[in-house]
Amino acid sequence: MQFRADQYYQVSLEPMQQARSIYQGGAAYALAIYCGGLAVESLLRAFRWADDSSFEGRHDLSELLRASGLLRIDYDSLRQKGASEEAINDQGKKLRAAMNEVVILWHNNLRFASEASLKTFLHKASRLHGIKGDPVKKHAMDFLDAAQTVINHGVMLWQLKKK
Amino acid sequence: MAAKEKIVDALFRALKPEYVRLDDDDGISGIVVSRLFEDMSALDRQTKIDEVLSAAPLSQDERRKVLMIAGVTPAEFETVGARIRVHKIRQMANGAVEVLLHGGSSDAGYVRDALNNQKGIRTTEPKPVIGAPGVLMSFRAKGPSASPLTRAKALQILKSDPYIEVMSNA
Repeated sequence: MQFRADQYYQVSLEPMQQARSIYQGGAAYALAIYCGGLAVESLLRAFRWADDSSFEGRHDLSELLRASGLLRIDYDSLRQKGASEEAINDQGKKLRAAMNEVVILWHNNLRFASEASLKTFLHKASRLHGIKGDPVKKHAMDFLDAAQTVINHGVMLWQLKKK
Repeated sequence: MAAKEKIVDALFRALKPEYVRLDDDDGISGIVVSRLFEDMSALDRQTKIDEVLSAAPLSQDERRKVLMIAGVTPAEFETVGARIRVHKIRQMANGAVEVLLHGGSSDAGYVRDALNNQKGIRTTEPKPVIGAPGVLMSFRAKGPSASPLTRAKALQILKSDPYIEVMSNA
């Protein structure tokens, strides 16, 4: 089945809402991460497909990210309006950090991970150290926060594209 | 009132946004730009927006139509190259025009300069519009007596600036 760019865009918004509901439910953090990652992947596909529907990015987020142009920041516009270089760099850093967080946990092997296998991965990646309480919950929250940041940026860009 | 208008109304009342844009294509999605989101995580912003929607007079079907409303700060909105939005240009009786725009004093300063850069045009100090929905600034601009500034001329000047967007109903 062939999806159009605008279909990928619509599809990206629903799983993000579902991811938050699942996270708030507290019973399936790995599933919440899955839904959040799916939302970001769909968004990247929407941007990529809008330019070239023949693109074969599969599920590689890094590759999709490069091709999507989603991390585009309009530096000229910011400078023209008098934003400081520090403020401009901060916005870029914040967005890249959010995307990195998504890419790390949306690793191919983790896309279908159970709670237990996610915890094993976090342990091997030394990401459990110093976390009080449920580390999977904490990582799910960080992941969804990052995914939502990326989605917010994407929604803004998509609206500008539609003008 | 349609669901989209009810949502826009609720967002304006609760979040004092600088800008709201919602589209209704197989579901409602869009952005709300507000300073209230500063220092809030992306998830907390969504929780806040959910609270606003829950308190709005929406039926269950209308609530289900909402796909995603992204909550962003003015600084984040700037990163995508969003232009300064001129909300209204009004012709005044004394051969001047009043310009209303979304944003803070730096945005108003930029729009003012776009007019001041034209020969003979002088502008007043921008002031916030009290009681407006969202954050609006206004100032007046006047041309020389030999060539008064008309609304049409002001529109032409502002529309030609790449960093200014004149709203369709301005």
